[in-house]
Amino acid sequence: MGTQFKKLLFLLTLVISQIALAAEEPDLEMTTANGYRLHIHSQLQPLGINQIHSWLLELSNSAGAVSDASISVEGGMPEHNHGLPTQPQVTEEIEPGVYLIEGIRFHMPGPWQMRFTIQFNGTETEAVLDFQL
Amino acid sequence: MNKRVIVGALLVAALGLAWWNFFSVPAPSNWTAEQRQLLNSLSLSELPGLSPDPSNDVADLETAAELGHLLYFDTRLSSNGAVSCASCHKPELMFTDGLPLAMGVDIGPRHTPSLVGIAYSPWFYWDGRKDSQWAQALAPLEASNEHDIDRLQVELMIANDEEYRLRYEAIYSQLPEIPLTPVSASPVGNDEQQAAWASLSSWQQENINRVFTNLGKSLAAYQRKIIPGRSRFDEYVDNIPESNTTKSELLSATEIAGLALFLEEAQCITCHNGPLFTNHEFHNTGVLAVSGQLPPMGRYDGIRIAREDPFNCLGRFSDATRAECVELRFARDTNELVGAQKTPTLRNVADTAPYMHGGQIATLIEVMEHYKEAPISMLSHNEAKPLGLRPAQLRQLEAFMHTLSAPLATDPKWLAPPVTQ
Repeated sequence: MGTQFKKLLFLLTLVISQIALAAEEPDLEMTTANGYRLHIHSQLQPLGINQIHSWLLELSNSAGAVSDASISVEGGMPEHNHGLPTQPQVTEEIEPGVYLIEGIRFHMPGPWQMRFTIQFNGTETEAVLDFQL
Repeated sequence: MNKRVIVGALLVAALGLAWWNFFSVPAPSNWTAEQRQLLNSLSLSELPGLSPDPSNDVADLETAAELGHLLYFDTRLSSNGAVSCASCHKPELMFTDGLPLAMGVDIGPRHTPSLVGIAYSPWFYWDGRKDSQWAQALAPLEASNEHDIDRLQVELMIANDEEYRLRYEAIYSQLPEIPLTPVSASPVGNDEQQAAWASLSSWQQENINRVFTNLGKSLAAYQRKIIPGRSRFDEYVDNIPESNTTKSELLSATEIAGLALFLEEAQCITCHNGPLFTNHEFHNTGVLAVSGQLPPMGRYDGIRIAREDPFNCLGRFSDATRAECVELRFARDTNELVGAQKTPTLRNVADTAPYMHGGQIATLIEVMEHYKEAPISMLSHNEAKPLGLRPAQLRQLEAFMHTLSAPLATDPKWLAPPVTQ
């Protein structure tokens, strides 16, 4: 029963969003097809290579802040076929809907991609962020 | 007629071959806006001041650097009385030794890396097995092929030397009481040393470890002084005119062509980036294992060793809070890191031959040839791709490497043994 039920419950929504990131534009906004709004603020200003730092991710939907979501973060350079040099993690929800992502470091100039997997209310949404460093 | 055709064809082939090998490819006449941005990112003008090391409270304390300076050059810190840190990390060779493999009390498994600008790195050793400069400084003292002494012997030496004792106590606190016996003990030494260590109370062990780590922190304070100086390359980049012309009096056409290759076709900047020409990360570039050694696991093992190290950022001898140990807590440990070794700085690279983690490659031009081929890795996969560059281009890249040499931006007093009063 469990598996069937989970299969029904877990609706996988894959949303690819392309956002150009400029060093002068520190805060990023993206909206997924199923209505999640992600607002990302890097604590490293301007965003650059070779420095470990944190991001704040504000997650909301039409009902407001999305609290108690389970979020995992992966990143890498698809062109080079390798990942980040670190394994960032959401370590804390510092206020409702605001998640602290620690351990982000980029180690090469070029095109980067960050992927957020958001599990909330039985659905899984993947948001993909592409940017240039 | 046929003869003429053959002679003609041979002549064309010979000329073609000569052109391929010897005629240089000119540098572009102008840098693009993107290239300018990359060039600026490499200039020493972009190097920020050294951040504090939260794991080392005395990292920027002058008296600690002075104690570290004394320790660094002291050959009494070795079993044969002949080896100091400076034996392998020689100031006159940009803190390397010119040998393929390090020679302490005995020959070691790795090539001595340069210490120039190393304080900016979050990881130490070719495989990143240490996460601070002070924790790094401790391991060679107890390695049987390097200094070959142990932490209790080190503490005894400090206690029995008045100058060391006074200097130590002025920085830290009174040296703890030392047991009369044993006189040699370590948890990582030979059987005898380990048995002696086990005979000590946990309180005595704690005291010895505390003194040992404090000395490591002083050695780190000294080594933080080893900072690269401005080279011809930095002067060139900082003086590119608004027209973005590549031409300059400061670098030759060959060197500028090499720089253009560094940014573009050769893609060296992928890993050798930032003002120190290193991303402080770990990459498998298909370098052959040292003769007689198995291919090393590299960073894959290194991160696991760092996590287990009692002297790491999260350990009780570290002065950092858990929140400050971000590199250790969020380090990646995946299979991508099998066979990966640390990207070395290219500052002063022309002065620090031979090259690679085992000193396997003797000269810079052979390094360029290695990357041109990008051979298959013996373990896991080579991240680099064959460059397909011409011999003339490899020589241009080599010429560019020489523009990164400069005297260190370090007060000369730190580059020689301390003058003892």
